[in-house]
Amino acid sequence: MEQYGVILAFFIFGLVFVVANLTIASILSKKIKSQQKFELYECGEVAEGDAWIRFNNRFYLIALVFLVFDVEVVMIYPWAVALNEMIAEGNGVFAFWAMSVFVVILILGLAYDWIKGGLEWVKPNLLQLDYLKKDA
Amino acid sequence: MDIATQNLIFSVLKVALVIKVLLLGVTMVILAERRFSAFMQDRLGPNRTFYGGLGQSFADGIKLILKEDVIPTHVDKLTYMIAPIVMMTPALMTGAVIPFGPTIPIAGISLPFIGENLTPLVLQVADINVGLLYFVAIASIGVYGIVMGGWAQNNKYSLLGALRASAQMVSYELPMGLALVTVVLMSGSLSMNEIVAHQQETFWYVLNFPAFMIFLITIFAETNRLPFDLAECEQELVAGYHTEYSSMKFGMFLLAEYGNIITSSALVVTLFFGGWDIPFVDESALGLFGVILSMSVFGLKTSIFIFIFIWVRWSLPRFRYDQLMNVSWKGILPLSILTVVGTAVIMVLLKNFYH
Repeated sequence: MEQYGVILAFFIFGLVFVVANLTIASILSKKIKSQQKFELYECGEVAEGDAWIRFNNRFYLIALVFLVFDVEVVMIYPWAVALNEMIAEGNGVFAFWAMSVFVVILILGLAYDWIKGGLEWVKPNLLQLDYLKKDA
Repeated sequence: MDIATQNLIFSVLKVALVIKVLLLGVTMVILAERRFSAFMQDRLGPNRTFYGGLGQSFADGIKLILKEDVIPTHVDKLTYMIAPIVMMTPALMTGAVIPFGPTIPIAGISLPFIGENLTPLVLQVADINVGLLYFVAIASIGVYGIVMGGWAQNNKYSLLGALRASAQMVSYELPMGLALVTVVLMSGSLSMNEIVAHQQETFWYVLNFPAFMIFLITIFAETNRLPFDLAECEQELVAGYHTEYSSMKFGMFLLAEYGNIITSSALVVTLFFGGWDIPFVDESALGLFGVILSMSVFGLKTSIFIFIFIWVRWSLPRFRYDQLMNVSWKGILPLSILTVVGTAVIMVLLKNFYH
């Protein structure tokens, strides 16, 4: 556990450096107030409306697929650590097949998502455009 | 002096040393990037400030500190202030588990101020047994900084940049995780020290070339570098997720980017190029000179990868976003699953692989 204490110390050192820098900057920097400066920058035009809007739900889809797969990848780690010992004990083939079942399920999940179009970034009706058709 | 006090002293020294090296390294990498890019574009680059431009980054830092800190009125203040901190702190913290030299056998030797040493000195800030998982976990906190920063600014460009960055980093984290699984398979350990030791005994893991290539591609994506810098592509999104930041807050995003480059390069070297190992040389026979030599070799290897980062950035054009997603989900992800299965098959077939 002592090593995690060192990591905590590292975290505190880093945080102190960052916060100290930001504080020093905000004290030393000069402040000249003018209304235009506090507007948002959108190519020099006056900004219209908020940016806090609903956005494309493909981003949610990607996040969801990621979550499922990431959990499965994390499940592989303990097996990966143990495989060497299993081989040394003569159980290598068993360990391999045990994990293959899991990996096959993972591949099936990926294949399902692929066939269903969950991995397509471009909307299907846009694929009619010539320049997208080529490398889709 | 007892063991606890000694460990405390050495730990504090190591923490200070690593943070110092990282921050100095960042300034040097920024300068190197500007000079190399200049040479690649047939320019000279910054070469006036202090002996051939060596002071340029420090001058820029002072300039950034003195610049006005503008906080636009429409932003979400709290998130806006926190985002640079969330971005920069993990970029520093990932350096904690990288072993940068062999263990120094100083047990039993008396040193000034400390007295007789009781333990050998491990040249790694925190020698934890799940170092690899720690690195992956901390490195992915950076994405929160990008999303918080991009969302808080209430700027359409920033929001788009943040969304793109998060989707991209999330997509490339899976192949990265799987490429790391192959490393764990070969070494049978999650501890960085043991991974390096195992590479010393057997072979450098770069011989598992597909895993190395997958890992290299994914860390380019994870650090938001060209050809994957969709999050801040200047031609489309002004500056992406840090459009509205100024002064040192912007500086923190900049430092975090280069800090990530340094730690990622160090990670590649540790996992695939034997860390501080010198091929065909027995470092432990050389004593203290061997330690210094190993540390220099580690620095050299890391520098080579930092140079590759810069080289790639100024050589390749950027992906289109749907291409980026296709490369990840339809190309690298199936390939990385295949690599893991292939590595396991080879290991099971060569039963005497490990012992």
